[in-house]
Amino acid sequence: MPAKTVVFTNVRKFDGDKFRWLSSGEYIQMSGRAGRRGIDQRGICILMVDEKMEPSTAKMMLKGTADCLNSAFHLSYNMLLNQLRCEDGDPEKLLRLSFYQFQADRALPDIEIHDSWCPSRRCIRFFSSIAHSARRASLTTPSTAASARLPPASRPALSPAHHPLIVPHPPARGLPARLRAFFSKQVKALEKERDSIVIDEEESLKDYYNLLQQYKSLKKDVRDIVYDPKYCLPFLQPGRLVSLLYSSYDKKSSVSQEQITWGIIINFQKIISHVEDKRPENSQYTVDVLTRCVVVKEAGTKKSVKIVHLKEQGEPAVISVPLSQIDSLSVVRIYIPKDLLPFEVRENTLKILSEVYSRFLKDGIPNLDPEEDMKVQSNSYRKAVRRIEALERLFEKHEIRNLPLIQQNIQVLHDKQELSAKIKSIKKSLRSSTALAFKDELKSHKRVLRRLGYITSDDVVEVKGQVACEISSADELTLTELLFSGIFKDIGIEEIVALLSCFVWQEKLQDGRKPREELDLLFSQLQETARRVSNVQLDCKVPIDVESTVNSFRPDIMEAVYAWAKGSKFFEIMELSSVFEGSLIRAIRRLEEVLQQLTCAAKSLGETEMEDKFQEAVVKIKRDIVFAASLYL
Amino acid sequence: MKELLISLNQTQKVRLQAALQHLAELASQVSSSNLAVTVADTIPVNNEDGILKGHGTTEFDGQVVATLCGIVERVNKLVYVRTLRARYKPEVGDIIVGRVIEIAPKRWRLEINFSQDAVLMLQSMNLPDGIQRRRTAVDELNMRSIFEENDVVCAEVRGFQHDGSLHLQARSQKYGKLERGQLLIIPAYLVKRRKQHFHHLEQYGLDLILGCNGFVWIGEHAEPIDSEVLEDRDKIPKDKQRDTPLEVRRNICRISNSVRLLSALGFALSVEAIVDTAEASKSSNVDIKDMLGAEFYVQTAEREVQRRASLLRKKRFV
Amino acid sequence: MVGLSAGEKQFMHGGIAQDLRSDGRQRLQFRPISIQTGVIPQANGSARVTLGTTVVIASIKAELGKPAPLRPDKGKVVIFIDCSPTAGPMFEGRGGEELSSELSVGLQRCLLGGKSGAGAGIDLSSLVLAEGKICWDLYIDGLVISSDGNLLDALAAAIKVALSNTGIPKVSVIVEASAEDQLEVNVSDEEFLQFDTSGVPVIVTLTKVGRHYIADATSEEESQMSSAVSVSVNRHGRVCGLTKRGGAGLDPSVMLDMISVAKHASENLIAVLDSEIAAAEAAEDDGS
Repeated sequence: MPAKTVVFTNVRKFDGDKFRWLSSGEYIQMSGRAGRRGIDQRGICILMVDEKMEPSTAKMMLKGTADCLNSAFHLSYNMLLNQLRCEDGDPEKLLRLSFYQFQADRALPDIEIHDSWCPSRRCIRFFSSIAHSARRASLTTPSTAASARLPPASRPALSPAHHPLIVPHPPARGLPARLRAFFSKQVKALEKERDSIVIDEEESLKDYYNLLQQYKSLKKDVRDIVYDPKYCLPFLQPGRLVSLLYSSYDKKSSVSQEQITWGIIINFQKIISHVEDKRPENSQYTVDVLTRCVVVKEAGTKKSVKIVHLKEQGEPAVISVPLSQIDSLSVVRIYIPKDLLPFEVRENTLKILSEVYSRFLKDGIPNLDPEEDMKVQSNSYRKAVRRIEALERLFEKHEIRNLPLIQQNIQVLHDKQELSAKIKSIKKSLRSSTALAFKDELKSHKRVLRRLGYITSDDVVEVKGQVACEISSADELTLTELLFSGIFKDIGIEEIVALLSCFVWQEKLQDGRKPREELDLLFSQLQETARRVSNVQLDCKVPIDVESTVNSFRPDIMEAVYAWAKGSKFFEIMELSSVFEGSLIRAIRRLEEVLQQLTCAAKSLGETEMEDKFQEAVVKIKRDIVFAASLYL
Repeated sequence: MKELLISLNQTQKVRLQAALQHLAELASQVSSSNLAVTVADTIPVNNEDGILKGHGTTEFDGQVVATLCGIVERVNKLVYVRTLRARYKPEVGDIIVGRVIEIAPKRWRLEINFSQDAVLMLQSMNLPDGIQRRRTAVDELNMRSIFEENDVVCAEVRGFQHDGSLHLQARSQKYGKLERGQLLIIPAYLVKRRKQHFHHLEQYGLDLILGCNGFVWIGEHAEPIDSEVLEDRDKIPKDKQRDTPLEVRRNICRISNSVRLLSALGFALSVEAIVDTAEASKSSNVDIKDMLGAEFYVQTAEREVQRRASLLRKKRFV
Repeated sequence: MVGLSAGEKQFMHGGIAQDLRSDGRQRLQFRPISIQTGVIPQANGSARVTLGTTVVIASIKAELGKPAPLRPDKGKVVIFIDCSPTAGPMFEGRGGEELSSELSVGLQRCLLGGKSGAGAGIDLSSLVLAEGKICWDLYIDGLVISSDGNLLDALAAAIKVALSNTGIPKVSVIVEASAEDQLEVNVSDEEFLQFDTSGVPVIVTLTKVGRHYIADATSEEESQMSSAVSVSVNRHGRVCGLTKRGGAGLDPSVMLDMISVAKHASENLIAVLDSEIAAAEAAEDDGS
């Protein structure tokens, strides 16, 4: 009903749970009726605010967006059967064109920009604006696709050379066509680039590179074995020199590398892990090491400490590193003072460290030998060490080793391999992105229908299927199975009505009364059938929970509906159950719908007796206040 | 339905008998042990309770008695009689081909080989300009421009009216008026319900529509019309529209003769069977009109025997 | 008759123009003919002819009777056609009368010649036993069982075959020199006279659809005709009778053209019928 003015007497409401502010969607809805079409130039909306309200809350309420419309699409058996019944029916097409699919496509993938390959700032801005507008678009109701995404001003021509490397995380469901086209273009560009990188003697270089990779991985294995807490804990004594791995960022070549530096162990601690596995060997340890660090101030009030090389600028600090960051333990131990808080003490200790370092500069600081000193006795260690030695010998023999530009070439090859890996991952995500939202469910639903005999293996609808096509207000499978089991044939009309009430009552009543015996018997038959159907569904890989499905049929209002069908008055049946009046009325109305559908179903079967029974049942319940069209007239 | 009576000489008669005998044997090997009943036969239900009596049955003296001739089928507790040779029994979703016999206010009445005429409402039909709107009185007056009397129309069964007659709809692009082809009438029970009833035979360039009511349409392939293209089409006067080319016409004749032949032999019609027969006639250089002759008749029967035998063998090995 | 839509009509016209009718025949080709003789044992002669899906039965009964006073040397032949309701609901009750009388008259004209009996296909003088006193009356009855076009041709063929199958019992007249009309005749049960059907013509109906003529039209093609000319031609190529049906007028040159085409087509038909008759006779001889 249109009105010129809308007055909000209160801006807070109780939504059944808590007393909260009006949401923007509600506000939009309620204020929307202000102003009569064609009569008023403008509508007036008055808000009476009784209490203190933050300006941000007010802004959100008044200027916020409407409630997001999210598709609650749900593939039902009834829909599937009706689609299969007509020749034109194409369930896949329906799913593809559904709103759910559209919304899933709109929820664009998280686009990550790989910094190292992005020289042009413009490109960064361009792609971040895509991501931003995509996120915005998914919040509002979807508008037409590509034009919303590309901000009209910046549409730079992307030359392959400037192609930033975008690594998409495969989205949950489906990629829209335009994005797919974009990614495949990118794949092509990357491939071109990769093929354009030409290295001399690529084959042997590849060999060498593979060997190198093997070597690295073996070393890592060895390291893992040796630096297992089991072996190295006794050697983490204070004062021992230790070499650490740290990553450094080289601004010039934009590459982060692993470097080694030295430090002094101060202490070590066990991390209290929250994992249930409490075996002592697997627990994590951190080691406090004194080494040169640099304190970096990041955004906000945070500070982070980064390790740098001994020789570089920085201050001495004690930093906790995990065991995995330790590269090797040395034989050398130095004497450290007890108190390391004062700056000078630390500085001095580090100076001693550098002296030791420079003294052993020729041969390097001697390390603890795993076998002899640390008593590592495992077989795998020995095997790995032997393989490392063999590899080292191979390295010596390798012809390329002596090429002058070997390191650079290795690096270039490494980059090339990385490119290939990226191409592979994009291709993989493209392939997986064509998946349809409900495709698996469609297949499993069809399997269920075939198993239960509703459709033939050729997808032609059978007698059972035609009955199920008529039922849409209740669980079609269970009801059809119940119908075909003949249970409705012999029981009276009131019992029929009571049994059907279990299908339409979805709420959980805390203290529901158990119905009388014969109704309970019917109810247990219903539960049996439901269980059977759910088991078939589970077999066919439909993700349902048998018990909860069976328990969703509730017998709470059986008594009430039975009495209603027998002719009692409404206030009498209200006494029989403690539900809200509105819920009961809604249930009985839905019941009438189900009965009408069952009448059509019985007609298609040819069972005139049952058809008449159902019609009679409708007549019996459709009366009085429950079906009154309006309570006022 | 006019029966095709083919005169066979002695040898052909013998061969035909042999072939039909074989088919009967094969059928008896395959069929399940379902009871065949005639009218007033009792259906044994072993005094089960809760038996649902479906089509073709009735309760008489406490027993379930058949009212039709056919085979007894059971689905859980439902017992019904499935007829083998009976009038067309429509179901929702069937594709049918019918002929307009009358134009009534806001609807067309179609003859579809059923006990009653089917009704196609004006609202259930797309307007020529393709716009979705309310049908006005002008539309009603222009009904004749969409379908006239004696037009052949393809539609889908939407439901039943209260008096039992059919309610049709032709809203999709591929339903509608059928032109440039011929309509064949065959017994309805020969067309089994399948997933697809519209077949576009690309190798012949024609459309084959197997209506569930026994009306089969074989015609030149018509592209489903787009509403924008429609305006150009109306501008071409009807007689200047190009006639069906000879090759397509030959194919149409061949396919229609195979349909006639298969229905005379009493074999169920399916696209594969029809195309097979046409191909066989082409490969053995049988003239189109000779397809309805005695020799090809017997050959087709023999070929069917072989096909069914091989199918049975395959099933056994699988 | 079921109606045809405009599209179907156009298709049919196009086919006829391109010499490829809906069942693959050419314009002047007949449908496969099959005949069976002796289908009605109690008649003197009978035949059933199937022309595609048109089925007709002809039966011939011979009875002794008196010749007409104006033509004492000629026997009597009466042709009567009936359309059975089994052929279609339109023939129920009195619906088939018009068609029946039209067919009867047409057949009579073609087979029996003019009023004087001259030029008849059937030699009437052979039916006379005693001039002015006794002659054979032939009652030719035709029954249309299934009507799918071209009834006239089918009926004429049926009559021809039935006549070839007819056996008139040999009658010896006990001659008494009295002038009484009553004569004793001895009707033999064994010996039969076969009719000479070499002179019996066949009828070829040419239906004009559009600008072309077709022979042996089906009922759908017949519904599209503008006019039809039925020509009865005998073995020697002589025209024995002519009937024109249909509302459209025909140019005389067209008419002459149609007659010549009919003559041409009849040769084929006569040949087929002869072979079928021979086959049927052979079968009968084998059987009996």
